[in-house]
Amino acid sequence: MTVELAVALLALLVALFALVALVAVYARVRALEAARTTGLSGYAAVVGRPAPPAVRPRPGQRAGLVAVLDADCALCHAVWDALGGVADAGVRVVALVDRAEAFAPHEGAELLTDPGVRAELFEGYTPTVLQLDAAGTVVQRVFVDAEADLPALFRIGSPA
Amino acid sequence: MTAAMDGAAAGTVGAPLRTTRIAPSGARVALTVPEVFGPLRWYASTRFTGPRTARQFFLAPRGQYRLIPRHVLPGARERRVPLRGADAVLYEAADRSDAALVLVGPHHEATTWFGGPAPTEDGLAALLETFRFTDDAAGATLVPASDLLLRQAGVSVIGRGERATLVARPAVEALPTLPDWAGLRLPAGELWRADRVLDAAGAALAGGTIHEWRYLLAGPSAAIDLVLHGPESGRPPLALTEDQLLDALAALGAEWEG
Repeated sequence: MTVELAVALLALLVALFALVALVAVYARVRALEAARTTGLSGYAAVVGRPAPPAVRPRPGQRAGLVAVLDADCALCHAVWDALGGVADAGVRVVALVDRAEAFAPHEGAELLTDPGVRAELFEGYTPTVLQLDAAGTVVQRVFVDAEADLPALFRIGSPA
Repeated sequence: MTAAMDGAAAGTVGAPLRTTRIAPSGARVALTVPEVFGPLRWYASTRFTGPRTARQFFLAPRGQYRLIPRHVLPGARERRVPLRGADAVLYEAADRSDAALVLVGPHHEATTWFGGPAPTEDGLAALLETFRFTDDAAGATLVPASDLLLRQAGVSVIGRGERATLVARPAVEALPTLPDWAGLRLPAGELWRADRVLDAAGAALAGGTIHEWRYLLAGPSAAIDLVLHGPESGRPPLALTEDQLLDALAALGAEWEG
C-alpha cells in the first residue's frame, strides 16, 4: 500500500464518518420535532394526557371531574359547592386545593391537597375544571368564570 | 396638528384611577386615568415581522371570539386545539374566504386574521410554536418564541369606554409621529392636540367642542393618544370646559416599564 492510497482511504473513512454523523443528527432533530407536544406556553398541554393516578376514576367509574381550586378565590367555593351536587356514583369528583380546611366537606366529592398533583394540572388559573374519561385521560378543560353554567359544565361529555 | 391649548387648569375632574396593565410585549404599563374619562375596558395590539411571518394580533377580554361564528363568519368551521394555559381556536369561513385564529386564555384572547383559507394542521402547529402566550388578569403577553426569527413591533395598550378611547404606546415607537414643535408642558409630559378624522356630519357635530380634537400626550417612556367620545359618536358631550379638560389631561399619565 502506497502512502497516497493510505491517505485516500483515511480521507474516505473520515468523510463516511462525517456523513453518518450528519444523518444521525438530522434524524434526531426530526424525531425531536415529531415528538414535541409543547406550544404557546412552552409546556405540554394537559388535555389529551393521562391525569395523575391520584385523581383518576376508580375501577367501575365511567368518568371523573377534577377541579383545581384556590381557597382565596370566591368563585372556587361556588364551584366546590356545585361539585357537591353532582351525586353520580359513576363519576369520581375530586377538588385539588391549596388548603383543605378552607372548604366545607361535601358528600360524594373529595378534597385533595397534593402540591405535586396540583402542579401537574394547574394551568395558571383557578377555578379550572377538567373532565376525565374512564381511563383517566383528560378529555376537556374549562377555565370557569362567573358567567359559567356550572351544572352544564359538570355534565359528562358536555362541550367546552 | 396644532399648537397645544393654553390656559389655567380649573374645575373638578374626579380622582385619577391608577392601574397597571401588562402590554403584549410583557412590559408593565402604569396608567393614571382621571375619573372623568370613565371606566375603561382594556385591549391591546401588537404585530410581528420576520422572514416568513407578518402577523398582527388584537388582544381583548376573553369571550369576544364567540361572536366570530355568530356574526363575522356565520357558519364558520371551528377547530379547537387545547394548549397549556390556553386554547387555540381556529375559525374558517364556509367559503374559505377568510379565517381567524384566536388564542383564548382564562382572562384574555388574542386574534389574528388570515384574509384567506385557514392554515393546514402543520401550518397551525408551526404558527403556535412561533409564539408564547401567557395570560394574566392584568393583561396577556404574546411574544415570539425566538427573537432571532421575529421582531415584535406596534405594541399598544388600548383603553376603551363610553366616554373615551385611549391608546398608550412606548415613547420610542411614538417618537416619529410626534410634532416637531414643542407642546404644552404638563406633569406627565408634553401635550399636543390634533385633528380627528371625521366625516362631514361628525365634524359638524364635534366642531367647536372638546370633541373636535384628539389629544396626544408624550412622556419620557410612553405616549398616549386620547379621543373623547361625544355627539359625533352618538353619545352626549362631555360636560367639560377647556380648562377642566386641561385639568383632566394634567392628571393623565402612563409609564412604560420594560
